[in-house]
Amino acid sequence: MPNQEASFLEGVPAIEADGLAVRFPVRGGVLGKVKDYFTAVDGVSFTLSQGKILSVVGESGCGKSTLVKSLVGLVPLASGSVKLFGREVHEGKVAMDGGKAMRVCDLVQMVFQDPFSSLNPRQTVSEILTAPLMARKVSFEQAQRRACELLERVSIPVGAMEKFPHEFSGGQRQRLCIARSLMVSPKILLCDEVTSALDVSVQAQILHLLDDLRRDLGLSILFISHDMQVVRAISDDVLVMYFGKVVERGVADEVLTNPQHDYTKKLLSCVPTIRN
Amino acid sequence: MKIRLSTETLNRLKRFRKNKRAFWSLVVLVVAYFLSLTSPWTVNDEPLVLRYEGKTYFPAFVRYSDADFGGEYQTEADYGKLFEAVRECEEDAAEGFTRAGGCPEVWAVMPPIAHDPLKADLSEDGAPPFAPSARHWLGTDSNGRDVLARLIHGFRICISFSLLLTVLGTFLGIVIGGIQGYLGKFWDIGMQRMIEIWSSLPMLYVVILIGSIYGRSFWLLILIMAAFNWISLSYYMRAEFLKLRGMTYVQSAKVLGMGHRHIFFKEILPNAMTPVVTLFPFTLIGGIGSLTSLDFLGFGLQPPTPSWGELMSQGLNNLYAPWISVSTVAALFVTLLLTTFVGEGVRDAMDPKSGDRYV
Repeated sequence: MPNQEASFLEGVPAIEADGLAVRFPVRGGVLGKVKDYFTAVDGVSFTLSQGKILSVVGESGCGKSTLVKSLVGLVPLASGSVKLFGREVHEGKVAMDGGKAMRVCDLVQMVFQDPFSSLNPRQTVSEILTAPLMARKVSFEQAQRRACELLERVSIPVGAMEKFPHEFSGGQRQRLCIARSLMVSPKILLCDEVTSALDVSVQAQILHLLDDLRRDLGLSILFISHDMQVVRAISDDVLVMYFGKVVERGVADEVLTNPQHDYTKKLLSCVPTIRN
Repeated sequence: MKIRLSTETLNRLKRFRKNKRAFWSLVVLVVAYFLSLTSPWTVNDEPLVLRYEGKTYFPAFVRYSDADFGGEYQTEADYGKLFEAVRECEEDAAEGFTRAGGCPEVWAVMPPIAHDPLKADLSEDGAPPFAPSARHWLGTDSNGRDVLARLIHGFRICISFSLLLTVLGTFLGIVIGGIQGYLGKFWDIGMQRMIEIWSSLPMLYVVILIGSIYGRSFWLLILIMAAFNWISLSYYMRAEFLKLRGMTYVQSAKVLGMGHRHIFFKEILPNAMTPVVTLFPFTLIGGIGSLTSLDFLGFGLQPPTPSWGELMSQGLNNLYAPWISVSTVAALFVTLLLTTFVGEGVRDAMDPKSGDRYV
């Protein structure tokens, strides 16, 4: 596996983000010149400790997803710095001991919100799962073996290998996505609203799976959600975002039971309950 | 690794199979093309098997010289003359003039259509073109060459040309349009402007110009025409790639650290094949049409290559010999019609709404 030989310091945070900012150009006029910038993420700093789950909450459009995408390079960072296990990320790479560099994609993986569009409809499960390892020069047999292991880990029958994504339910697809991201043995998993497209009973299964994985594989998880119940159930720490800025942060229980910021209070009062 | 077609592909194949007209047109075309591929041996004036003086020869497949059959020269044997000589000898023998050594024993299996498309048959009285007869089923052209033989060889060359042209043009269209859509931004706009300039070049003049400098060879003609053939497909591919590169599965492939080549060919391209497959038969028709018209104008393949366009211009020049133009136009009409049926079938099969009737 790609990063088994890499050594990581104990006690160092998995992610240290400092002053992250993402800006999108706003174009206008006949020639489409850049008129202005929209700041989606505005000076966000946070720390994700090893083996912990940090939740980022906030309403739709507050920049949660953009924040995660900027960590894996899907969206370019305007400013700010990211350290993974105490090592600075530079052009999608982390410098390792002995002058070697490690790609961020070998360390950090991401699971997307919509399980229906995040699996290629033209590829079998086997192709989907083995491709990341084959791209890393692992033999097909080895990749296949690892794929079978991971399918078992996420409780999908191994007979699924020759099936296509549309033959699975939403929850099973999300498990496949999780299995795919684990193929490269990452240390950090970014989950972008992984449960919001699923119904409640399946949500619980996925949350249990993530918690089990965190424990068994020592994963550090950055969990994004707008669902306060889900956040309460799973997270160790919470980061509350509002219009691209962090308005409150802290240990999950404290923030969710005794919110300090007005926005957090409002967010918590929006949680629907049956009585009143 | 077992190849499994996706359900969508299987459904499309099923829909195409259901369209009887398209399916049987495809069968006829494919069978006709594969039969025509054997035409260098089966539509030829050289015997398939020849027994001469107790020895067996395969003249259609192997080149024998005149010297092998008692001649003096190392030139290719002329089997027509050989049979003639043997017949004369036997006639002489019947009349009582036995030659020294007797007549050679000859026994041959001739191809089903025993005419060479390049050789003139002037054995009949008068001047060509000769009308259809038992010897020449569709008559001969104004040079005395068998029309049927030239039609069959012309079909083989025409379809091969058009297939190669379409494959090459499709490849260029996918790669260029795909790169535009995949990279986006100023690459997209810049390349689009270049393509617009390129597409405003008149293809016919370029073909005539380059043909007059470098000669009119099969491969050169394919290259020149392919350089113009990809443009319409590239528009579709650009749009498909622009649409698909934003899909979550493409983003997740990026996050997984896949290379550009994998994302381009494995993630996006299989999902962008609809315009490729739909346009393929119609581009093929365009290829047949443009080769025929170039040949008709005399700027196509080098004569005496058998070609439909050249036959048509002969038909036009010899209007009193209608068998030339009628058979050529009929052959072209049937070929284009069948290909259009296949194209329609493919288009309908790719379109999930095709069976719907909005009344």
